[in-house]
Amino acid sequence: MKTTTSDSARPSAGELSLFLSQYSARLLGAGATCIRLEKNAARIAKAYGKEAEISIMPRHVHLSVWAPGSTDTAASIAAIGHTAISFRINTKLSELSWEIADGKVDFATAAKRFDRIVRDDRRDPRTVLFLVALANASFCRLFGGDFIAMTTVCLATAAGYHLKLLLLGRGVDIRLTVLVCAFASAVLGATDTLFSIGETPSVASGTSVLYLVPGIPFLNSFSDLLYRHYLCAFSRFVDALVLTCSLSIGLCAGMLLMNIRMF
Amino acid sequence: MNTPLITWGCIVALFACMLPARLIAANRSRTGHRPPLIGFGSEREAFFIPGDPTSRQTKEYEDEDDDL
Repeated sequence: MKTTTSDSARPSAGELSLFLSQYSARLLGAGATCIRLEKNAARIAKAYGKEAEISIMPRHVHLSVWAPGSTDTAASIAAIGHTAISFRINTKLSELSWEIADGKVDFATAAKRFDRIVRDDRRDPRTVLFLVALANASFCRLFGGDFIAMTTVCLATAAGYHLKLLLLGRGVDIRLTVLVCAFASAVLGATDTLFSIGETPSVASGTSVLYLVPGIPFLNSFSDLLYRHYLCAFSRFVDALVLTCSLSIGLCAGMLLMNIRMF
Repeated sequence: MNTPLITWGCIVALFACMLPARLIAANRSRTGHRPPLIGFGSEREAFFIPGDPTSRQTKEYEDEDDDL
């Protein structure tokens, strides 16, 4: 059974607007779709007896919050941060919205929880690197690669992903980073072709850069398109397209230098 | 003619150099101080066997000797 928060614990429209704008910006930055954001924000606002309308732009979120039947209204705007996609933050923030809706946490606690969720998004880079390499090797297997090709792809991915972490950590542009990593992984992925080892060297070359494909932005753009958030859909699609172009340039340059004729 | 091999060699060499450098850097940041590559240790550091009295314990014994 859903409960609503008591009047004493209810925030003003200004407080809620500020909280929701930060919440929305962080949720979008973590890779949530527009429809998820709309639902979560409306759920939180309703729990505090307010209404909320959101205008989602590619780089900003504009929020209006008001209490029905009163003059308590507020609007705020927040910039969407350029952060790494994190399903953990996505899930935790959605859980928070449900806990608020169920009346399990008051506004002050919710604000603290939000800060903690955002601050404690620590992932061990070595574990992530290992899992990414393993996942890409599995992709190689799915495309028919043999064990040698899988090993090559695993090493090429680990090297490329390590380079990606290094370059992004030093503030290098994401497009340049993707290009360089695709080049490095393509060259390393061509090891089987170069030394004539294994039965499926072309599969190793083709799948060595799959970890760089911006799958989530593509999926999110289609989701936004379905729910008629055309501006966000177009923005995310173009972002993903630019990254795919960078990846393609790096891959083609690597294959050209390694003398691989696939097309 | 040897472009693929040279390119491959360069990339592999780059990563081969990068990996130890990163490991050393990570180790340094973890320990918080830079260990000297070559240094002179005390006799105790060179010949310490687990179970030997530590320097603190030795000091305590010395204190006792002083009292005596």
